[in-house]
Amino acid sequence: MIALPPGNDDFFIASYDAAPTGGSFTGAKLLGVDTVTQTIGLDVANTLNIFVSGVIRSLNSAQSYASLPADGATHNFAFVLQPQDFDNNPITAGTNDPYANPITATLVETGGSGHATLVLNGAPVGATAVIAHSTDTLALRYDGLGAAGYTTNTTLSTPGNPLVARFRSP
Amino acid sequence: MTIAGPPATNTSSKARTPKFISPSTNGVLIDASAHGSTTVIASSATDVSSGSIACGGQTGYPRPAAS
Repeated sequence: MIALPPGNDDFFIASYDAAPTGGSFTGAKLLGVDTVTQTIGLDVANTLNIFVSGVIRSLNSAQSYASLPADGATHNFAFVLQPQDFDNNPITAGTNDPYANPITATLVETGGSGHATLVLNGAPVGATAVIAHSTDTLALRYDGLGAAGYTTNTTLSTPGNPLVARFRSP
Repeated sequence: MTIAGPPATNTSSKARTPKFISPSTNGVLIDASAHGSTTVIASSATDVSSGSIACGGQTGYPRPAAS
């Protein structure tokens, strides 16, 4: 319990994998964060309703390479990700508690262009997509028309983790 | 807050999972400031590990905690 002046106050909340030592979390791993603004009433017990957004440390992706046929037909490759925190716990990120450090997917084509796009939640979005919720889906759509030597490289990164996964295809 | 255990593997339990709190949570920091200010006017660093005072001495999962 902490005493605060009445009125609008900002709250920063962080969860760690270690208990504080001497009031400090030095050396502890950050697991979740949130910032909220709430009106504090005078001389009453105020309840703070918060949602803690999980901090992604790894994506736990099982596959890093896929081969898609250049047969003139459209192919979709779904990225399977399971974001985890510093202690390898799967993170659930909903509407009110999106990932604290959302995943940015970046597609680069070599040996040709315009044959592939990222597909976020079923909609083509081009070369960049941001995944903020557990329910978001990400795929690569390839038109199957790339010439010999055509490849794509999709990197997945989060703030604080420049590169947490890389996918190549075909 | 309640620190739940690692997620269950059966679908029905996963569907009931509340908002995310990592099961590895052992400490919680709360910093308060006047709205729009960066000056912290109150701070709380709480031990919410298994058996901690904030958890009423409760061990294991789930354990409710008061910060």
